[in-house]
Amino acid sequence: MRRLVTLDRSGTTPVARVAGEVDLANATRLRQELLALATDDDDWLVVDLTEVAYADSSGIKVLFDLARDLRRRRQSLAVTVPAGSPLRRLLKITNFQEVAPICDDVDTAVELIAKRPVND
Amino acid sequence: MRHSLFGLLPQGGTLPEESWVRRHRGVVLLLWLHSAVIPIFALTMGYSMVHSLAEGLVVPTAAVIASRPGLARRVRTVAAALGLLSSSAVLVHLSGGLIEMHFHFFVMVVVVSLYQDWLPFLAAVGYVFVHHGIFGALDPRSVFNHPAAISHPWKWAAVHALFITGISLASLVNWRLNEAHLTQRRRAEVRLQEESRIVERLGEVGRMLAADLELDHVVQRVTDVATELTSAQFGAFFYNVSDGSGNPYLLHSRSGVPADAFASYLAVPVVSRGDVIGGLFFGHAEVGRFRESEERIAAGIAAHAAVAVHNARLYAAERRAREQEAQARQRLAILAEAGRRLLSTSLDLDALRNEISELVVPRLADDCWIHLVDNGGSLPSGIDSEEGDHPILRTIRSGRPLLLQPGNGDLDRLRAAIDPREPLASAVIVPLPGHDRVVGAMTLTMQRSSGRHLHQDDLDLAEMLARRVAPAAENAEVFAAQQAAAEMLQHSLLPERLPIVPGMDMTARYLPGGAGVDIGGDWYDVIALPDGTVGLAMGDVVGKGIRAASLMGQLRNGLRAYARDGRQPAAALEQLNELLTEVDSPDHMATLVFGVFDPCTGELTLANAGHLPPLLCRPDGTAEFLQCGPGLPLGALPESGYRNTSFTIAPGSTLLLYTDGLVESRQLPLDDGLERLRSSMVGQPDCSEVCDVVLDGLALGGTNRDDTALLAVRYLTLGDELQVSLPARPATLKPLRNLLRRWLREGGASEEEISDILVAAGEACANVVRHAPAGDPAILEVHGRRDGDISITVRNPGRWRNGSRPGEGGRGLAIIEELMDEVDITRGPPETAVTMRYALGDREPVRSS
Repeated sequence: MRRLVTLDRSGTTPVARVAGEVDLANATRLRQELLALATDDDDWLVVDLTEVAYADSSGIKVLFDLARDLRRRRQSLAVTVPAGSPLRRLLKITNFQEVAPICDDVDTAVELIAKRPVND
Repeated sequence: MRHSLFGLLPQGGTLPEESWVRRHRGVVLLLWLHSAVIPIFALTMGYSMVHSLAEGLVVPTAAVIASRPGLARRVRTVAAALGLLSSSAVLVHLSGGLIEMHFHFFVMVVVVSLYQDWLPFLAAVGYVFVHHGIFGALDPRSVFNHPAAISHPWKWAAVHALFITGISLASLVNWRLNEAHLTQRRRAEVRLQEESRIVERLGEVGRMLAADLELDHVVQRVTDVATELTSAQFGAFFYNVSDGSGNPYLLHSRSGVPADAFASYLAVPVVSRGDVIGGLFFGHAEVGRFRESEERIAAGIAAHAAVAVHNARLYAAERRAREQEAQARQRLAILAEAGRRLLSTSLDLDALRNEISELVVPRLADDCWIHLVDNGGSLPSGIDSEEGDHPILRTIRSGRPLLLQPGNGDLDRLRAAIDPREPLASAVIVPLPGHDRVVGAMTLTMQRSSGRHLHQDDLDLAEMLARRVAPAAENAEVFAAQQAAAEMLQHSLLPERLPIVPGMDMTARYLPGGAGVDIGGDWYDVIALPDGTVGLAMGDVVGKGIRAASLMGQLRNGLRAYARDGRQPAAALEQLNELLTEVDSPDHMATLVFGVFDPCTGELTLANAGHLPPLLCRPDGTAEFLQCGPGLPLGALPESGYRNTSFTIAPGSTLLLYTDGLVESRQLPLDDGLERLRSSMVGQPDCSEVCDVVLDGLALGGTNRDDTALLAVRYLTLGDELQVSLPARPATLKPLRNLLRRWLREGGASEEEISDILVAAGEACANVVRHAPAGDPAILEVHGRRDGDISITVRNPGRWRNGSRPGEGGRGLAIIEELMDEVDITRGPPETAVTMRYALGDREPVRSS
């Protein structure tokens, strides 16, 4: 089965790119794949949701859970979603910005991370 | 002494009638002669005419009496004798006792002796004596003419009588000798007659016996004829017979009355070529009944009988030899036919049983049964396992054949196992010797009603037959097991049910081949892919049976894996081709057409590896075979290339994938079949009906068809009303969204609107799925209406969770309420429904945070 997530480690911060549609059927798998990507050495994990065509509350829950899990490991999560996209609205509706920063794209996220202290 | 003395005397009266008549006629003539001579003689001697006539009158009187036919022979004889003697007396008297005239007496006595009868003879002798005495005493000169006689007439009468006696004795001797000669001749004649009669009869017997070659007839006829000809009261013919097996035994044939208390017996041997082959025995209640003549008759008949029996035996031997030859020829023919038929017969067990039955019944037996032990060694069906000593079981266990003759108790046990209606006369049970074990038994039976029997040679033939039947039975059994396994394998490889894809109607059918056709390698698959597209596969593996089925399994699993991995159809086929050519087996080959259909866009991407082109029937009634770039069958060449060809399928179209069994019936060329298929597709309301119509057409096409797989897919037209009922499972969510997306898009919603509505509806659906009871085939119902605005109702049989509870369920409700213009939640029982409304086109094009 095609992987939902691909990891880009070309920069200083690992970027997990999620593609496709996320719903009840594959949410659990997505969470496992994402968790597996972040190693102990990383302070941050950027999850790029630009290619996600659809996500429902199961997908949102994956992000909430991921943020919590990373925080337990003293790591931080940032997500990137294009401004104005349906998912961006969902994240706003569910107040996701309270658990992790939402950026318009990966570059913005990287910049943001550079400015913020680790595990604040 | 007295007897012997009388025995010397002649019997008298023995003169045959015609001899007497002849002699009597001469005597009467002599009388008439004397009647004429005497008066003349009297006249010459000087007597008066009156005296002459009167004295001679006595002679014609006697002649008249003797001539009268009405009188008895004896009376006429005596009258003639007395007339002759009277003529002598008259002549002596007329001659005056002239002594020479007395010689006339002697002549007459001799003449009388011609009659060869005592009465006239004694009468003649007495007449002489009485006449001489009486007339000598009364008038000596009328009788004698010498003085001594005249003076002593009685003395001389006695002297004359003495001479008469002498001549009489001489005549008697003559008479006696005559008579003896006559008797002898007559006896000889009688015997000759009898002999000729016997010879004639024997000749008849001989001809009759020569014409009869049936031993039993010969024996009975010989006995009957011999008994008749020997005048026996009882007759029997004992003879040695060799039966077919070489055991001599004695038969006999009786004729006449029962053989107790006979006083006379006659026995003659029947000798054929120096061997006594039997004997004729005769009996009679009278002592001394059988004499030489009977013995000769019996001997003659015995000689004929010997020849006839010999011939009959030769004939019987010849006939037996002919029968044996014919039988042997028939048996050889049966064996040869067995070889031919059993070799060419199909591997089907029932067909094999039929072949054997046709071969054996009725030529060899009235009925034939085959009982087989399966590989596990369990009992043949039809035999009670509690029957420990069943003859069929005994044969199977011991491997030894059984011949059950009349009276054998096993016949009843056998009958109970095979056919309890008919009583059995005899049976033969032979083991079927398989490769390394007895695979079963063949039972031949004769019914009592048929009157036939089975013998040792039938058992021998049955054994030879069994050696031909056994391998065929064994093969058929192994084949049946293989076929069952292959069928099971194939069935397990075909999808049990097709995935439910909203917006699509799909039906698949698989028809096994006709009777006697091995299971084939036709297969199909419908794969609901993770991205909401649907993989459609139809293939045909070259070959039959388990190998084909296992290859099919590899292809199916490979295709599923590659397709789920996101491979395009052409790439998936290339991978499968690699998979097949890696296996170094030249006969691994398969055709396959594989398409990925996106129900959201109606796009079909198709690649074909040598399979028949799918048929697309459009809603306007036109139909088209979807031709792809050319592709070789899988496994034909390594690194075969395949091309994707895309088609856009209009809603309402039906796509038909099929195997060659559908169009390649023996009667129809492929092109005709395709044309027929195309014409039969038009105007069928749903896919199940499409399949029915197409397969009905197939059934009309021919009988001995190949196996056939058929997959009909209809891309449903969506109206303003949408009603979907799906299993409440996570996998349902994505196809459902695809359907809604397509429906919304067709309804004129913008992409942003579609996104919002999909998320909201998706939340509602996910919530239903999330709370569906485990293990229960819960249903998710979605009802949509588009009339400028969009209204969607999601129902489930359970309870809707409201936002008061934490977790994504609550979050979901928040999302719905945020995204939709209006949300109504109706809580059951019996169901909970959420209805959401969205007004199209009255929002800002971009909502930003």
